[in-house]
Amino acid sequence: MLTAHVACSVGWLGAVAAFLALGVVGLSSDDAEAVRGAYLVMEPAAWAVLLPLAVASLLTGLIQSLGTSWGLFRHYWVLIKLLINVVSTVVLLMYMQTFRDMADVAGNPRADLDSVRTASPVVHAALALLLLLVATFLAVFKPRGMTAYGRRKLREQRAALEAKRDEQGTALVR
Amino acid sequence: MTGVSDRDVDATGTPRWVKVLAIIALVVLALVVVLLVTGHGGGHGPGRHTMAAETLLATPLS
Repeated sequence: MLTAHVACSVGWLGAVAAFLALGVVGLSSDDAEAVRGAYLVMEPAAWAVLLPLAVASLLTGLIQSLGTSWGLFRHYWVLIKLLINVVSTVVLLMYMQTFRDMADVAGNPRADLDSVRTASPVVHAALALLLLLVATFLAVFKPRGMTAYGRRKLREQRAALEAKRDEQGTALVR
Repeated sequence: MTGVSDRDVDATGTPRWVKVLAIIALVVLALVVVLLVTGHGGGHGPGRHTMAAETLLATPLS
């Protein structure tokens, strides 16, 4: 599951980098067909690659954290990664309509290049890349810090373990 | 940095790195909101494309 989560998350990062490149082509290329093509290809590529990877990263991350001692709300780094993943996926879902609208304009032969070009995909992809890089950094370095909930849970677990040991010790003495 | 030590359990309050990250996130969020509200973001929201598409579709072919 960890391998699947890493593959999906890093794949998502790479896909966002590709969208950033497409956005730059759309914004700066002198080739009219390349500009229109960049915006036309974004929507199907987002449905085929971006969104499935985002959802897969979220699901595998949830299973991975809930299935191990890391938990979902115990460590700040896990909690922040979850927050980044959920926010990015929701914004991507909302942005799917924008992909559709950009493709409509790019596919319209009456639309001049100035109305086709937009900085929106570059801005969104750059911000998404930044967020996903932060998530990758957190996943690799796992900085210290437990939430109040995590500390309480750990104390409860340790207390339960000690009580069990005491119980076993008393039984042995008898 | 992966283990959970007594230091983690006994520590109270939010770690410094979380506070720094939260401040950076708030600054970026505020910047994005200011850009959107003032219209200096290049007018590249979803509405821009919808309006452009509607305008184009309403324009007859000459």
